[in-house]
Amino acid sequence: MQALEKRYRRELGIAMLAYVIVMLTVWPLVRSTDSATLRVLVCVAPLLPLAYLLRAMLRHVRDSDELQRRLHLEALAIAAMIVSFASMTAGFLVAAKVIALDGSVLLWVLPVFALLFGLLRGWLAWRYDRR
Amino acid sequence: MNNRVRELRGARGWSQAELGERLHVSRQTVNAIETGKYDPSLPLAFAIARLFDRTIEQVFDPDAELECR
Repeated sequence: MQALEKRYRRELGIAMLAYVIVMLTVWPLVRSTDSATLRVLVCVAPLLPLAYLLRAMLRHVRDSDELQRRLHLEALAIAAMIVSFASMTAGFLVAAKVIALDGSVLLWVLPVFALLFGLLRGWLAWRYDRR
Repeated sequence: MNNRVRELRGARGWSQAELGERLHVSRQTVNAIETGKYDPSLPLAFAIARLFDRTIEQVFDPDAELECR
């Protein structure tokens, strides 16, 4: 089980490092090219480390023991509900022209979801220990 | 559900982490089972009983709910 945690942290670290490298080196190219193909490739590049991150999260949940899986899934469910609710709220506010948001706000969905999942997972484990 | 996991583990001189390794579960899960905060699934309960050479009824007592729950 400790090996499982180590593997998850290693894969998480690799995904985050790769994402930062891509955003620092590849993403700036989007402003300096008019080629549609290159722009698509630049947009796809950050998705690769993020896909690896989601794979790591899925493997972590799948390979955990029954109690840990329960805590993971509870954290994922609460995080999904919060992010969905926030998205709907923002969507209605934009539709009613109360606020103005452009499409790039969608870039925040996955990072916020991942952050919420991590925080909730830690909180649920802490709550379970002190119960 | 009350259980004798801590007592049986102690008799063998195993730590929670060691028992977790043998059962392929985390130390936190072993702790949660021992303190009655978490009732294991039937397959895990069987694995625990088998590991200690006991029947499930000798390890877990469904009638004795912990007061804290």
